[in-house]
Amino acid sequence: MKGQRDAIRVNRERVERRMTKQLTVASMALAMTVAAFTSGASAQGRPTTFEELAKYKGPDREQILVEGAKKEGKVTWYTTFVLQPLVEEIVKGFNQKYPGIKVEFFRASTDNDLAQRIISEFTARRYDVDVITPSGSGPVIAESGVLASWDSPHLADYPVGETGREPNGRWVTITQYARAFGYNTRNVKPENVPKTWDDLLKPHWKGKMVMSNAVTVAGMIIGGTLDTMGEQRGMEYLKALGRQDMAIVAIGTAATVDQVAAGQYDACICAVHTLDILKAKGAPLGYVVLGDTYFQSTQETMLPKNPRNPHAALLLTDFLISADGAQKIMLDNKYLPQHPKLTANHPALTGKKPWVLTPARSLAGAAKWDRILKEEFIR
Amino acid sequence: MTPISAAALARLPLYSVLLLLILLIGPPLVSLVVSSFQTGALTPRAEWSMANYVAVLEDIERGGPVFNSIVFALGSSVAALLLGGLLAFIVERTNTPFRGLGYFVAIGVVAIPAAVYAIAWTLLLGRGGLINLALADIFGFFDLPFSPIRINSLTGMIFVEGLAYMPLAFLLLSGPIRSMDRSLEEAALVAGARPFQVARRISTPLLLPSIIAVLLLTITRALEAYAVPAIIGMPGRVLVMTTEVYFSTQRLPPQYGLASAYGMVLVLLVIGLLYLYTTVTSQTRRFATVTGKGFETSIIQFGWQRWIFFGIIVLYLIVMVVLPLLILGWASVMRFYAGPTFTDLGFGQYRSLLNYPIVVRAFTNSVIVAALSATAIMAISVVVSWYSVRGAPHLRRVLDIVVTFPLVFPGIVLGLALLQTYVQIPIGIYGTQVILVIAYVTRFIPWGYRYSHAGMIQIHPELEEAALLSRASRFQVGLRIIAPLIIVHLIAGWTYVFLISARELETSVLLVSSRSPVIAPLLIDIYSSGSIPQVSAFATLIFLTFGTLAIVVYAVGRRYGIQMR
Repeated sequence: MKGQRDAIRVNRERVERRMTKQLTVASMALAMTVAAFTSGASAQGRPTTFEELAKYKGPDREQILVEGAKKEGKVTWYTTFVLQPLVEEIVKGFNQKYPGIKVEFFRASTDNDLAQRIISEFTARRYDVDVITPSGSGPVIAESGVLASWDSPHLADYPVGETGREPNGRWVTITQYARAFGYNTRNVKPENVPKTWDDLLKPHWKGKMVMSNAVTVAGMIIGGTLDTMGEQRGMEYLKALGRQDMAIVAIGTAATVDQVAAGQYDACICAVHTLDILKAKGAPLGYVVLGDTYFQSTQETMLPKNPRNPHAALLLTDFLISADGAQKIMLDNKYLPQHPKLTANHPALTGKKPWVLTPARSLAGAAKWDRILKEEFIR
Repeated sequence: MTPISAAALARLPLYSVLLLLILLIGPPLVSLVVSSFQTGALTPRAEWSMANYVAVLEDIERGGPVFNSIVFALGSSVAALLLGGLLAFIVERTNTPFRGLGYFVAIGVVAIPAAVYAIAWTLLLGRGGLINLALADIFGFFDLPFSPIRINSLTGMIFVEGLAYMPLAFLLLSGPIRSMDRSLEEAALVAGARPFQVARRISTPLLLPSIIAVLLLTITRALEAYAVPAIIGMPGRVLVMTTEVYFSTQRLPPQYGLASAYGMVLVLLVIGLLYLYTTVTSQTRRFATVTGKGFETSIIQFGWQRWIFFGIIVLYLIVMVVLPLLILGWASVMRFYAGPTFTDLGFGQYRSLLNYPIVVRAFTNSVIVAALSATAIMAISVVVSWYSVRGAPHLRRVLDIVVTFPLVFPGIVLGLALLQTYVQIPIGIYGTQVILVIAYVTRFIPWGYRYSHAGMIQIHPELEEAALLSRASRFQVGLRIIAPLIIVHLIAGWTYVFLISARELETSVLLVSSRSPVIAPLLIDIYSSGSIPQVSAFATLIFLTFGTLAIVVYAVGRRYGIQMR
């Protein structure tokens, strides 16, 4: 009798141990039981691991996520989004919808910085990050094997492709940024405003321009130029541009716009939305899109294989891609959201062709562009 | 009786401390050397290769970073030494009115990260900087394509780095300047020399060994500086070795092997300097300044000249405190910063910064990590310095080498080496406060040791011998003779290490994570990603809190120190 009870206990313990091991957090079991009772049996099997949870699309998904996320209490988000306004607004919107889940964000100034941190943290088996939102460095991060495949009902709206859902389901593009030539309207007379890329080679511009060394600025300009002009003519152009003594700085594109507004430089090659944001505040800034082609980078969102707060991670991810969540916030803040139902066109870009720095292009070209940047622009 | 002999037992603290030091230094050194010979270091595709050194040698051939590093280090350490030495002389040895203000200035800014100055002086002396605009206005440069002062140059970097390291030079020199034997100066005065002649012909030569020692130490510090080269040098295309190390880790994918190879070149440069340093300091050893003999610090009585000195102190106050704080404060309350334009006043930036969890955590982390590191360092130092001073010559040499060995790692190279070590040894300390304490203890132990060792050699053995002759036990000697005499030095060392740890950037920049942020790396993050008003607000907060912190810590230590005498 006692032996039998013991056997049952041992067996139960074994099952429990297995469950705690399988479930990323014990609380998930409770959340799912509650969910199963309240919504009846769901169409799909109940998610028991993070892998399953990350692909779970049952009608009770949001409920499971919210309940789990409230117990986790917080979510850690690494991104290269600008703090003001975008990160602040997204955090505000998320907390209005889901109160009680603290969003701890870490803002890396460039993708290079973000990728370095994530790769070293994961190599050291340090799993702090729950949600990763970089700009183009997805494949580099993925090479270290840290990314999970995931799915969400909200993803149904996004097409699969280079600037949509990644075929392996590891990331999805959530916004894109075009680059333009921004200038300080106090220091640059209207007749000196350039119209083409060749105008930047005029003596007037020597020593007056600034550009971030990030792969999404300097790297993209170099890669895009070689691609659109052709290797040979492109390289000649880049050598000539390099001789213009452009300041190459280790700060993000938003910070270079601020430096131009402050008069430290007359002009920058920087993101259109960052120019729009500061212009709207009344800063002395203007911008033009040079030539017929504009260069555009993408911003993706992705999940690590073992987030510390799995429910909150998925909840924030759903918020980032949903039409009534962060996608709407981006639209309201002059960003170009990726959600197909919210497509916005920037007036400065109409009639021009985009050259998009896709994650695949970034992976293939980054090292070469880095070398050209060093040899021709920094020396 | 016990199997362990009393002599072995007496050496137990020594052996445990030695073991600890070797554990701190060994693994990072090995990982640095190993990865410098690898391509794809830290990835599964790592392969043995000389490619990194080939790339570094090509860079050296082109001049550039190595040359810039040397000029920058020499220039800024001489600047810091002159600025700090002059202030130390005025404060310690003259009858200048309100000279306590000089102390206040130097101590108040000792914990301010150099990045704060780099940001403030860019706003003052950059192309759109207020001073540049004013000069342009006055001298009618307005339509010229250049600005009157170009801060993004080697000269600009030397100026800002010199200012930022002035307080350290001041602290390192004020001790030797204060404790100079006045009998020689008095002799000169009696012989009819004027005060300035005394300063030039008697005091300076007496101080020379200390000056050279401090100079060599500040050169090694300037060689490892990262903030000023990144913020001021890089836009002007002045690259140095530390920026090369850092940017190699920021490639896509990160090039740790290349960073290590640059790091090894920096290490070799520093070893050369340290060799010079040990040659010089082996001379200063002989200059024990506190002996059994009585001594007294003398104040040189200046006439009207003391008002010039007073003016100089006010100038320090303006340049080190008033101007930077004014410009940062002004920029921080703007809606956007556009030079001398008024664009709204508001404290919104401060509110939003204090709402970022990472900002508050960085302030508390910096203080906690610095306090832990300083305590650990002084505990280790006091043990090592006692054995070093009283031990046999060969033991002294071994101890000196081990404890000053971390000096060969420039800060950013140490950070790189620790990153590579603890990323590969997954004991879960990478990205935590623990690795920061390890980093600071390793990096700053030579500085803590400097204080405890300086205290220990000043205690002449004749004091201990006298006590022993009077039949005091060894334990009593330690407690009643050594402890009261050395505690002042330990407190001074703790204060100093605490303050330089609180402002540390170079090592921690590669070791912090979102969970273990500290102040200076976070300032660089916000500088490179945020708006000018936002970074100015953060810099102002750092200036005010760390300025207050430094003065409080120093005041408490000083009071305690005085009571102990």
